[in-house]
Amino acid sequence: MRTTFSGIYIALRALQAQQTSLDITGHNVANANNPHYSRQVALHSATRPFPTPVMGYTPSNGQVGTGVEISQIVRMRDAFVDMRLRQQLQSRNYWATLEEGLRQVELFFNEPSENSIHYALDQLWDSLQDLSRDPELLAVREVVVQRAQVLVESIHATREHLQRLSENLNDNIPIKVGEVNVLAERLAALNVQIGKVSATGSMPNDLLDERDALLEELSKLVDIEVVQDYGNMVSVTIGGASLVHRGTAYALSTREVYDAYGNYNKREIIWRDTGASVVIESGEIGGMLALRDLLNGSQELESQGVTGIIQELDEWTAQFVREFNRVHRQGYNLYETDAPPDEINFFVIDHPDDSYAAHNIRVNPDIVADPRLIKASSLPGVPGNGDIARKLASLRLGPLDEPDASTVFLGDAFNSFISRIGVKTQEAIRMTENQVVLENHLQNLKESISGVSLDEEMANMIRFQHAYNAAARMMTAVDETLDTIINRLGIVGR
Amino acid sequence: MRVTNRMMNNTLLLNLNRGLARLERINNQLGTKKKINRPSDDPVKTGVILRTSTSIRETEQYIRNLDAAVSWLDAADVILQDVVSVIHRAKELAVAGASTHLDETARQALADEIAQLHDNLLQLANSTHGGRYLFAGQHTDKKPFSGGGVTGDRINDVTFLMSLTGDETKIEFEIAPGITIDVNVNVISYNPDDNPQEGLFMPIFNALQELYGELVDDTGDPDIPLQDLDNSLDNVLRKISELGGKQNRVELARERMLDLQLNLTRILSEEQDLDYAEAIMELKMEEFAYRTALAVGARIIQPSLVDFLR
Repeated sequence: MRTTFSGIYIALRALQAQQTSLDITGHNVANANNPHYSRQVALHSATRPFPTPVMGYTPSNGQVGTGVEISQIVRMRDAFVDMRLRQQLQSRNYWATLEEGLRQVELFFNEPSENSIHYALDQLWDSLQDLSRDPELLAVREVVVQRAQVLVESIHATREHLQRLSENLNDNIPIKVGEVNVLAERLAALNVQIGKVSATGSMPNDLLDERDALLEELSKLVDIEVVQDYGNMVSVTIGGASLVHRGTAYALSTREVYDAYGNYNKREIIWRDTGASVVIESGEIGGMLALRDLLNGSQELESQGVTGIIQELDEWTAQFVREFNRVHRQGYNLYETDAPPDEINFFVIDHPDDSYAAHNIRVNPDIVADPRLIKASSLPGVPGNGDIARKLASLRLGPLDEPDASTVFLGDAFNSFISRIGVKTQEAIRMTENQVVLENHLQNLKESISGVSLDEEMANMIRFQHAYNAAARMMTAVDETLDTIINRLGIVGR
Repeated sequence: MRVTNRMMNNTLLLNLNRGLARLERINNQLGTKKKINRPSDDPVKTGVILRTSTSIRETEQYIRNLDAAVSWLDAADVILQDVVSVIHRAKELAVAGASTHLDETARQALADEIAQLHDNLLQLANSTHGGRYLFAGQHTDKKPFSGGGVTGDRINDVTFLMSLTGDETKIEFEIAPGITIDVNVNVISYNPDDNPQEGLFMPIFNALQELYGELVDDTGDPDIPLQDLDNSLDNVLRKISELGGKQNRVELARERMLDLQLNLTRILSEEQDLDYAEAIMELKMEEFAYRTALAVGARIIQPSLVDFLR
């Protein structure tokens, strides 16, 4: 047996539910362009039916409905897509960082062009051929010195640029680590809020959106793993170690690592509390670390047989200088009249180690001051002999056939060095292109679940509006029935 | 799949961006006229380009060396032709001097001309090419012959000032990888076994000196050294023909280098240079794709249900 006024309450609940849904539609429309927002939907469910434990009740009558209520406001989100998107963001930012850096490296080398080490080297060989023809001419000797200077300057400039890039990366690492720390702090704080709200049984939808946005930001920087905890909280780990655990954030820090000469400081990322090093393999920071190691070399790369670009340039320069000087020392300059030849080197490197060769290479200042000191002749006191100059020039064609000669084909070694950089850069460019497409796909997937469709919202709006209107009409109908009962009943003959 | 406005937006932006990136690449290619501007455009081809451009510069250098060789050989050739005329003239004078009908004045006149020829020959033997002595081996800064001039009734001895051995006699130019040619005339000896002091010029000097002596000496019949002159002439002519041979060789080598250079330039161009027709076709296609994406964007972004509700 229903009560007299139950119809009013059914209509009232309907009005409230439609109104809430309209509010949510408004919220959705308002956030249509918020990239981190997830569409919300109010779930309508029927309220408890009215049990009628009264006279005349038989189960076959069925229960009488009591209207509608908003059982839950749901955030439309797919955790699996989120996870894949986070991984995608990590590798996309990793490759994009590598690509940007390697493109710069290519620009530093500027091959193939007429402002490159390769071209300067060719010019030096040419000038040495000229010298072999006219070894007694001072003008030709000057040209050799000038060309050698150009080569040295190109090597220098390239080395400096590479070094600076590596230093910039090093300087940026603490900044990026700072960003990670800030994000971790905010995540921990949000975790606490989310936990509190969740404990009351309601869904903190907008807080969850904010946290997912933070997780995405964090994924752009480092490769994180996200694990769901109770009360809608999350735990975040890097390389298996905890970055955020419920309400606690564990900060990262950096420490400087010096090389054997105390020159190059390489920043290593560590956990502030324990001092243990952090394993970061992806994300923007992972890309920066990888790029820095590509430039400077690292133990891990060495074990794979890969040398850093700066290292390789240094090694090539050292090999070039050693072989060039070795041949040069066999000869005689314009002043020498007796055997054996004195030990004047053409290029000098004032450092005990090869690892700074490209930085320290110079043309012997004595030769710059007096090009007569170039040893072009294979015989003492014979200025018209250009045999040594010719021998130097023939280094262009390949290694010399001599007992002590270096077996390295200098020109080819440099070319394949450049090709290797090209291969690396090409890989980074292609990977980035692919990653961007994949990321777009996942963003669309996420958008297809969580995004606000204005068409849909408008359709819903009309739906809710009509339902609201209908519920209001219902209220009117109940009102009229009551009116009938109260005002018109029992007035026969009045 | 549910499609939202932002999805369309994202995809449109991505496509526009990629279209622009492709346009930028073609733009760069057209601007630089090169297919490959960075090693990453094609690492393998970059290697080929670097190697080929080195080879081209190498051949250019060899062509320059060959040009210089030609000029050395030509210079020596001209000088030796002059030496031949000196010897011819000396022979004429010698034949004239052999006549017993000449009086002292006539013989003196002949002798004076011989002295001049001797002088002339000395100058030829000390010829320079670009400031360097042609016949001094690798000691191109030192004057090889000195002496000469008439004192009393004899021409002074000419001495060869240097003792050249082995490599010092040769001026070598590299004309192809690992291949050298000596571009000077070895005046020291024709055969390795010859007495170094004999050589090419000394017998002529000596013959002229003797001839002069015989002509000014008025006692008895002149004993004209015609045989010596003939021998010397023979030597010089052999040198000239040797020079001719070298000139031919250098000329052939030069032709070969020019061919090689042409081939290498073609290879480099194939690897590196842009095919304009292809690039412009590509540009047009990319431009079309880009414009289409823009037009599609303009159509899909605007309408939503809002536009159709009252």
